Amino acid sequence: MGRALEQVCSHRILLILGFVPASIFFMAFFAPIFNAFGFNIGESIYNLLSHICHQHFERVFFVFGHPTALCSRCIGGYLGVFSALIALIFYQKENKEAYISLYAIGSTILLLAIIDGLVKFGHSVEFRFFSGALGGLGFGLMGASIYHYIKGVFYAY
Amino acid sequence: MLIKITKVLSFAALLLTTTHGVAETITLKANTFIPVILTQNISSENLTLGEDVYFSVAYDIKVGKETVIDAGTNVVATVVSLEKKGTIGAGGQVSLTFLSTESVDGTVIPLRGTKVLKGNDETTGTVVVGVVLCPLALLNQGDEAHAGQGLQARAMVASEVEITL
Repeated sequence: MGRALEQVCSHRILLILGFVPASIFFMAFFAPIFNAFGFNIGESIYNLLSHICHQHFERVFFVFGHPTALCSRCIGGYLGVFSALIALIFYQKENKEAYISLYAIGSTILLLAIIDGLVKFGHSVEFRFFSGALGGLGFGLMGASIYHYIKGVFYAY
Repeated sequence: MLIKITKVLSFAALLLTTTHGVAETITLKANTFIPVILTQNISSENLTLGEDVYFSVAYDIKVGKETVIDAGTNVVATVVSLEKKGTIGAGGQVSLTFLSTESVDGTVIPLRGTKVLKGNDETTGTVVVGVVLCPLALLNQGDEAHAGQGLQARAMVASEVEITL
């Protein structure tokens, strides 16, 4: 427990970076919940997130009969980025090459998601979520690998 | 004879109730989500304040298994605020508020929700170019706010409505 807390504290930047996609992810679900119970703040969240997502009805999840404020692909993407950043807080290697490998894995996964975005292998909401999650995970792995690599150059783990 | 007539009438009454069924009342709750689609092209250039704009319901709205609002039913919205494009790069802006739609039995369903359309605003660029290069650039105008058929928007039922099926 103490070791885990120590790792979290030593990677505050990753934690802060992870907070952004996590907030967006949760806001996407809070908007329909607020709207379902008649709170006007729901509309404000929809308007705020409309700047980053098309919010088309046929590509969103429904919560209490109301659409989420982000499409399924975006929700998957933000969940993926958040998961990757949090996972890499606890993944530490003294060997910097490990992060290069991780960067390569991340970029490959992201490339797969980009290809799916362009070619559209599947059209279901669930498939889009899965594809978005892959892309987010890849992007998060790339970002966190760069962070770890740079940190490893300046501070030996 | 009287017994025979009574029997025939009872049978007729039974037939009527079984074939036509009993009218069922369904409650459409407040805050129910209504997906709507714009059915006309609009622009801040030719809209006027208070003008009606028409949308349609995107898909059947159901309560349980019963359809209470058919897909394609008209939804009326009105222009509540309007700004035309202006100098110094100002873009146009239109705010629409949803008013009502109709259920399958013709009951008017009050709606709430707004849709804001914004034209491309070029204020920052215009000011920079106007101050640094040429003051005449300040005469530059932004774009009108416009939207075409098929634009999606969210409306919600404003208050509880009883619908007879």
